Amino acid sequence: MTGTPAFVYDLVERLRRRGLPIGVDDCATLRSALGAGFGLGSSNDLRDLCVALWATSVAEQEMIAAAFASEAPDWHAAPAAPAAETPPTPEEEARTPADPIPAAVPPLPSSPPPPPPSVRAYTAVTGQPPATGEWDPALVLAPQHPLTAREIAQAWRRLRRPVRHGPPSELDVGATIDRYARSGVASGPVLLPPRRNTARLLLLVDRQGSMTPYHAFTDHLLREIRNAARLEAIRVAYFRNLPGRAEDALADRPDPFSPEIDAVLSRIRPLTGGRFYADPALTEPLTAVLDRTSPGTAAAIISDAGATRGTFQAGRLTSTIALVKALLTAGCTVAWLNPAPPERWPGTTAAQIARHVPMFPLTAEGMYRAVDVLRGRPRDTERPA
Amino acid sequence: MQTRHHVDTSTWYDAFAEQPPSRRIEDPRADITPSPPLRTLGPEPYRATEGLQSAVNLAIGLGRPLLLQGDPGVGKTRLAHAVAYALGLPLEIAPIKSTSRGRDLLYTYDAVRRLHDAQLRRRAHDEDVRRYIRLGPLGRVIARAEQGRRSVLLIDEIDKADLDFPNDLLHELDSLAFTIDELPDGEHRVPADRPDLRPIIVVTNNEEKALPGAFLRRCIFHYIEFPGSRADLDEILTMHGVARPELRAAVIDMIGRLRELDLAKKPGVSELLDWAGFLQAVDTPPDQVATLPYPEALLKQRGDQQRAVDRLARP
Repeated sequence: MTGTPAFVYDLVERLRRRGLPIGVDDCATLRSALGAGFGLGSSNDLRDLCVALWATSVAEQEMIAAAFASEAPDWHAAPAAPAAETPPTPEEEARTPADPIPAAVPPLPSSPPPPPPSVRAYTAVTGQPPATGEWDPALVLAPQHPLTAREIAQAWRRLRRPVRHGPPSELDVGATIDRYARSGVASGPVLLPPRRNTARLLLLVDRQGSMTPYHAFTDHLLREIRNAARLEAIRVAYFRNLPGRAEDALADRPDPFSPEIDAVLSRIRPLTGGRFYADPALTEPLTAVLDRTSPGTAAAIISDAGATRGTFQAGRLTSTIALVKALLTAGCTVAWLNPAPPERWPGTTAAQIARHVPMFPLTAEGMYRAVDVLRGRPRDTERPA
Repeated sequence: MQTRHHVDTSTWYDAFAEQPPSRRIEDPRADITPSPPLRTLGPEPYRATEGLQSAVNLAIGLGRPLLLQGDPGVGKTRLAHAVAYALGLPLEIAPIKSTSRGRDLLYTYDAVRRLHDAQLRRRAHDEDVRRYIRLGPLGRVIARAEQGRRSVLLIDEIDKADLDFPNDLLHELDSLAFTIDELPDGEHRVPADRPDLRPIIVVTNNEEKALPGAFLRRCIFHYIEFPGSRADLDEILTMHGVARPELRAAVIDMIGRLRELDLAKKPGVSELLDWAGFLQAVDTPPDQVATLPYPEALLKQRGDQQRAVDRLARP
């Protein structure tokens, strides 16, 4: 593909590495825009052209600008004659590909020789200290999370329990025609109450400690779930590691060296009370999270379950089972989203919890499967809690 | 598909040209006929930046929708009005609601009215289905192009609709053609060899929902910033009839101070114009502007009002 400045390919390469899927089509569009006289004035014009064609959000705009700042040479073609007055004739257009635009780049104007460096001795504090914190246009400062807002929205909007409820206001065309066909008498239209999503979601979010590296990511996740999922109610409760303990069940475990707790599983009592917080800083206690949960609520637990530190704690395991049992007793469907990658689960508490509770990694596919479970699809776990 | 990729720069939007005081433009409310009625419109005062002007021209030249983002009240919607007036084209508006469906933009079919007419045996010989079909904004724009006239289409606040709404329109926006299923010969399309008839489509987005990537990739993207310099703000105020220079200077000082504060919702251009217009109408002396009279027009949250008053009380 001739007609495009050579550095554009390095630029595309760099943007693709950053996850911006620029394809052949996009390059072809850039080429035809350049051929029509757009973006030829200066490197800033070309940058603005690429932003207009390729970016779809402010974050991507910044990404493209950053790639330009580190990749693009100083570029200015002779400004083409204003394209408004002279739309390119077919011959001209046909010639454009054969006449690559870099040829039109004039040699850089010879800049005046730089002034000789002057050294000035600092004798005392006479002026302002040298300024720091200059903004580097080559840096991308917009956050880029492993899951995009759209992926999160698509997964969670599947959590639906539509119920027709309220005053009838929607026209049912099929039923109206059907009624007329049956009775043969002129009659009014059939109206239905509109559909409403009655699904409720309870999010239990582990916070601080080993979850610290995932704070920004889980905040992004919660924000997007709140934005996108049109649910009847979303409740978020934060806890640290465990909301409450249930260690008495471990008193006479048959084999103290085996991590499995199948023998005492039935003896673990559902957790009552528990310590939850309303804010991510864990300062405002939230009472009656478990007791006041209505049946049918989907409960999602977001926690690394000890996989980040890579340890196994029998107490954490039983206490977690107690929490899950409390949720199941309240009539909730329970799924676990683990932000730590599955390769880190074996040998830790997470692997053991996953034997009893459906646990999924916090990826697009994992969220899909978690929402399936929350919708009520039975999921095989080795020993359901 | 060829029309979309054929670059056509015969239409050029010049944001800085002097606009005539009034124009006779085709009435977008009338039916699509070969000789439509005209109506007289006044100019839309709008100050575009160079970047915005070239984004508009790029969108026109490549025949792609122009996707505008920016803070509320920064002038995303008004741009479509300004472009339509400057080019002398009719403007079709598609305001999007949470219940909007992709097909509504093309046409609606009134099944119940047809059923009623059939029940009442009205006009037994008049079996014309066309009477129950009403074209939507995008449908009208395409039908008008068939008649050889161009239009501007504004799809306002596309993020209000369901998540899949933009995807339902991909094919129609790509091929600029659609079929009315209820009619035997219900096909409408923009002539493939006439890129100068492609509608100019402006889409505004408030980023309440993430739009699908496939749709976004087809758009020309532009982010409208709050005007950066005093001269820009001054010109915008002049354009909107704030005639007294001292009042303009005082108002611009105030908005600059307010936008430096840490507010939940910073006042935008639209709030500024409301406020300055009212100050001018009630003849506020410029030296009183520093006390922030009528803050209700600028700051729409109680916390923001409190914070601004507290901050302005300190020197």
